[in-house]
Amino acid sequence: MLDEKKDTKEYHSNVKVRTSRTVLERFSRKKITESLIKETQTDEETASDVSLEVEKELGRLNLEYVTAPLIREITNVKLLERGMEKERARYTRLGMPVYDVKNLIEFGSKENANLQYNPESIHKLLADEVSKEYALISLLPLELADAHMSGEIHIHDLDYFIRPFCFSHDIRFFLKNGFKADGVGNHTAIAGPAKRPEVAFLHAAKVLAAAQTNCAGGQGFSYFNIFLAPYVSDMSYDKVKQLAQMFIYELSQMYVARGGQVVFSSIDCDMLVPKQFKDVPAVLPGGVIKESVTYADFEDEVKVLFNAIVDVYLDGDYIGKPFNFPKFEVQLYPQDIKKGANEDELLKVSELAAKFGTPYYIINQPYMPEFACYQCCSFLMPLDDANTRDDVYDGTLRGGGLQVVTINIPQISYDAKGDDDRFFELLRGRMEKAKDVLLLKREIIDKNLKNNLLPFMNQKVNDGGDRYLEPDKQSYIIGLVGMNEAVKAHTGEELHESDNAWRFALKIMKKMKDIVAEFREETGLNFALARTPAESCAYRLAQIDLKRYGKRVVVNGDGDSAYYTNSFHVNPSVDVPLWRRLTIEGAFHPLTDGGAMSHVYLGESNPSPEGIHELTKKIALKTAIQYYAFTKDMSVCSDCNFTTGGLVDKCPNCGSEKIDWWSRITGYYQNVSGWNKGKLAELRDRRRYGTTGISRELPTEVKKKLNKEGINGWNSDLDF
Amino acid sequence: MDGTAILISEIEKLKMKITLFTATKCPNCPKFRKLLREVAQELGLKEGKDFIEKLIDGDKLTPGSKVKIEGEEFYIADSAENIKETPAAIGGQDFTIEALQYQVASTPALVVNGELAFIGDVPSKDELIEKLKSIR
Repeated sequence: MLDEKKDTKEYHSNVKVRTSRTVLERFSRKKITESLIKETQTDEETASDVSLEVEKELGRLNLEYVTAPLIREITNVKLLERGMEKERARYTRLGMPVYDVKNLIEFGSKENANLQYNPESIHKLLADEVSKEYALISLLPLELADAHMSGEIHIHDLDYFIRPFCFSHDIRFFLKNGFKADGVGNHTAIAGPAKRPEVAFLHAAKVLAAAQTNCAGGQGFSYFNIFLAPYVSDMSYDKVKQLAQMFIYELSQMYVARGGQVVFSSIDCDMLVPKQFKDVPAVLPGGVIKESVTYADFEDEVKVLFNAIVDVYLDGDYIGKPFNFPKFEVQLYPQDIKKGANEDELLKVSELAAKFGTPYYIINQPYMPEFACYQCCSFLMPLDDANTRDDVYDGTLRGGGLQVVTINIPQISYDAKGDDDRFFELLRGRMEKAKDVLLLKREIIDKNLKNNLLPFMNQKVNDGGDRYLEPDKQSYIIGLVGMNEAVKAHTGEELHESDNAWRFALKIMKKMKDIVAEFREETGLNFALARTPAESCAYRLAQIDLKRYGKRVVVNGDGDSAYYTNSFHVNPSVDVPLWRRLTIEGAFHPLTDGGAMSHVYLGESNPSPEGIHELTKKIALKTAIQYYAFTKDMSVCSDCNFTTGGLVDKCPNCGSEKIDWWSRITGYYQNVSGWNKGKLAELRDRRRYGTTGISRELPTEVKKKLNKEGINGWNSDLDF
Repeated sequence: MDGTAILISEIEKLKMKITLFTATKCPNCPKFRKLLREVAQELGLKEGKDFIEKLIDGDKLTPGSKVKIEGEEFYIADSAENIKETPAAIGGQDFTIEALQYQVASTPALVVNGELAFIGDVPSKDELIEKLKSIR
């Protein structure tokens, strides 16, 4: 037997350690002991024993050099041998196998095809791996991480768990105070209040880009054309349109956010000055405020800017391709529609919907809050709750969703086995878990703000020291997916198949709303129930359930492309009249106080704007729908740039088969090549409608092509 | 095919042509109640047969009893058939979900032939007459 001390000495003298500080160091057992005490809170004696075992192991291997990660892995094995699992979890490293890194660099990501293959995106994806694992292993308690892994709930954007989610900004704050892109001004130049219109519009674009560096989800402006109206006074229409064009190009071209992507941006626009701003003194060029000049004085400018924005969207980009960002959201007021106000503008918006499907309609229904803005992929921010009258007057009307957690409703049905009481018991349990995740997120963001990790959102907005993002004023969003499949599994019928199934689904939804209201009461925080866009989780949760529950599972599509229907939507594939589809979904909208969305999938390549105009008015006046969009599929030829409506497999202009397909995944337009298999199956299945009510399926050859495509994974870079 | 027609046949249990959804605490409801009954009388529409009023928050009320709502006395019935006195309101159960099926989430709201006719604001007398005449 070797003398242990001698062995140690020899080892010391021979072996070099390649450390993470990129230097070669002499091996030292003491360093292992110290790091074990520091990182795992193990007592000194155990730590010393473990490090001695590690040293022996290294000696036995007789190496010329050793890397620090290898020493750590050997240490982990020694911890496991002693049954010290908790300590091992704390001591472990996060990261990726060399093989995966090499593949990512050389071939790009197979799971994130809508991220361009470029150096920025590679760095983002490398970082995502570590931060997502960190969230699951270290930030979330085991029970909550398991709830996510087993598909009871889906915690969105885990790779960005240390950031807040989405935010709606008030451009007036920056028009009044100027703009610091880094939030502090020691890494970037500091701009004063914009004096000229060009600068005001450029500041607006940069505010969203700056905020995106701090947040995971969408960034938008509410009342965009109201607050910028004073900047376009006495200006020719061409000049106003030029400003709108500059702004829209900035946001659809700045390829800077989240590892080389455009900012996920949106603008809410009005056709006239809403009553709540008529008496509010306007922020004028130079950040000047005169008590006598209010937004009511800019009624004409609001309309001109609105029209200019719509005209820019109607033109599309240089080759006539639609702008997918910023998302364009139009505020509609049923009372105005009834009176026939703004008919010309509404018709122009209908034209845009018919041409590109661009606009999103916000219908200010009687049940909605006074200040309603839509964020990201249709999250409703009730700004009433997040703000005071002072914020309305001072230009700090802002707020966002801190985090979204989705409840997998079908899984509750499988577990409840037809028992109503059991169903509601399980529902509550899973919502409690979602609540725990959301409260944990609050702690994390609060801490990160205190550490100034989120400098842009940490800016002080007033003398009282209020921060631009106040965690306690954000929305804590609980979403849902697969209501249709849940009621099918529980009652035997889908939403559209019987009144009984529809009513049961509404009962579930009402229960969820009541539970969320209890959470609000209990925590004093703005918990909200929302329809999850479910871009990745409608697919991920269906796939998990198929593995866990086998034949009992109710899904759309099959095998590796099986997916759940989004939120409370009617099964996308069924041939029910459009109006019935909208009526069934409309009943759920008032229950989703955190935002809901319905879709009208258009089947005609050139739908009539007048038909869309009429349907818009009918939806606004005869349904409870609060937010919706017309989705028009688009084909763009890679050879001749020709853009046409519908999914075609050959370019009608030049005959090329190199065609890019675009459609609305859920809350925004995207190139279809980046969609996961589940979403592609949904695209294939979607029942498409004409404005006259005729419905159709996709042509067989297009369906066949869609069957062959799609990404197997669900690690979408936008896990909304 | 008209989706609205299917909807009515499925959810309209009472085959009622006109339903006024109201609540016990609702600033605009008293005005609408009064207007509806006034117009109904002029057009010869009968309460319980042609039109009813449903309280969406009246689940705690006892059918068969009389209740004062916003100063006026109402007979509470569990269904249109059991209206013994007028003015009456259907109560004693939760109508929230049924109202939602008619796209009603705030009161007052008038549903005519299964379709939402007015919500939020109270219509003018002429508007209401025009709407109710159309069902004949």
